[in-house]
Amino acid sequence: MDIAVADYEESLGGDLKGMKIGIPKEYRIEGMPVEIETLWDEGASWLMAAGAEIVEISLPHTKYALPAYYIVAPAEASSNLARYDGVRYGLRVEGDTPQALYENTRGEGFGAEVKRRVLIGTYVLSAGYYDAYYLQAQKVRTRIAQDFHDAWQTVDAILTPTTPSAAFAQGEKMDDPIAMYLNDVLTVPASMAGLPAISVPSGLSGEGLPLGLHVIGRPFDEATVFKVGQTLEDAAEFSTRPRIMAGGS
Amino acid sequence: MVRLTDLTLAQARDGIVGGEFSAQELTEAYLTAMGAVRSLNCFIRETPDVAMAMATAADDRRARGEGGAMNGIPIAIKDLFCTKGVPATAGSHILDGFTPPYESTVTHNLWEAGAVMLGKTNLDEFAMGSSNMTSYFGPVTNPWQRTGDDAKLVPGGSSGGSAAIVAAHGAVAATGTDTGGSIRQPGSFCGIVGMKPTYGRCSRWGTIAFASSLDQAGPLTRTVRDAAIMLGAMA
Amino acid sequence: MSLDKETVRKIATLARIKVDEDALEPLAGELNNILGWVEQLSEVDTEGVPPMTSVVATEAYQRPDRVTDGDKVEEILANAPEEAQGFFVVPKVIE
Repeated sequence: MDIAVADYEESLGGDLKGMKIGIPKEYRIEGMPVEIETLWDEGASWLMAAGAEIVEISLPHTKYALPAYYIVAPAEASSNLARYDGVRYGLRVEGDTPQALYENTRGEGFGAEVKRRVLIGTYVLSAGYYDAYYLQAQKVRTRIAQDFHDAWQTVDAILTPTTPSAAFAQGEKMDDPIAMYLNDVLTVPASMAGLPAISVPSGLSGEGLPLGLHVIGRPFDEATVFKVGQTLEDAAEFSTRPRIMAGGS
Repeated sequence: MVRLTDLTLAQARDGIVGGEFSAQELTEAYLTAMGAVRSLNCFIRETPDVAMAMATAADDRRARGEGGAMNGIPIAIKDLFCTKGVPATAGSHILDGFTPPYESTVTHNLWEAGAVMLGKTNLDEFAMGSSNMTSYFGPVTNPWQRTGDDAKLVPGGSSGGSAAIVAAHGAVAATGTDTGGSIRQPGSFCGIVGMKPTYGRCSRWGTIAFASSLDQAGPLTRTVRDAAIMLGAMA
Repeated sequence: MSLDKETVRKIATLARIKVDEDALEPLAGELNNILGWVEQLSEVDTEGVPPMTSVVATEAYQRPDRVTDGDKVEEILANAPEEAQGFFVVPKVIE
């Protein structure tokens, strides 16, 4: 990218006077735990105390970002992962024909989730379905990026929670791919629009687990993202340590 | 007495520059720390010999009055970045036996800045997941547990090994990649900072591809300042 | 749009992934759940909206047309599961 890398450390410090921070109402998703909403409100008040103005904004296509992602990402993955054929590098599971060699290698070499996504990707790119799925998802992606572009006319950064829950137990959600995908419901929109974003540990859940707040910025404005992120970090004074830690917590 | 492994990246950097401790001492402390939390399964491959050689080189640079922004800082690398001569797996069985003959641009930049490689971290297979449960090399355990409960929790994903090892003070910082949340979500789950820069800020060259219009590398660190320093070295 | 077992078989062939006969039906169910969920995208009015081609406004720049790489047969074959006389080996294609 032909854009100079800023001195990000240099950009830290100072107050947020004159800065406007957007709170997107569509991120108050159904079923979000109260403790996460509370932390989010608290984060906004920290930024306000540092001199920022808090503005409610609307990003109308937020709810479509995750389903659009689950077309675009598998489509690209099915193409990118086509290279793993057992011929040039990596695992090889023999077969009588080249076709059998590829199928055996990929059948054994890929795990369940990778196979699922490659198959979804292959389907949405296949003749007859391309327009309905892939093209529509890419148009929705334009809409999502436009939402953010509109928001930047009034705000300098956007504050949201990072995730709709704290960490869950190993094995949970494994039999329900969509429940697993919902972990990323608050992070995917910025990904779809290519924007810089940071998660900063800001509080603990009722069960004693860390929760993050999420700051999204304008394209290539990492400096503002770091500056707002550090303001949250300073105010949160997050100092609890995990139970399992080298040397003991 | 402050433990070396409790220092932030900024503090460790200043300590090496100021001659309070050497890159080799810091790296040795981290190699011990990694061993102490090995049960979390954060690493697919530990590279202690590479680490000590890089730390020695960092101390030599400092002795000559040279050294970049991360001279002598021990970090972990998500096993999606190709590092020359060290096997890369992407958390998948299908890359069995693959040793990249080239270096990714992001890791090249980090080594240019003086960073030290501790090893390659565990991840969801091909970065597809939000729990680190889809790795061929087994799940990573979050160093955090619920109050009064010993249940093993996920570190998030896909950069689960990177996030967990930084949270457990087994590395100063780590690289991650983020396609739909794979740096920020594990950062949140493990109580550390995770930063995804603008798409295109860090080169994708030599990083094993998942979804090319979304994939972006970024740092996982314990403080925002550390993330700012590390992104400057990666970009 | 709903996938049946035969369609899953066809996609798996296109994707060159071996799927066991008894796994086709459950897989069809999983894929249908996901496709049913993404169906909501059809609600979005995209009349006249161009599909996203790049998230950052950028011009493709050109490098000089010069050979910068190559002559690395050994390096390239070093990772091959099977090689012979400087080539990758695959199963017999022509009888």
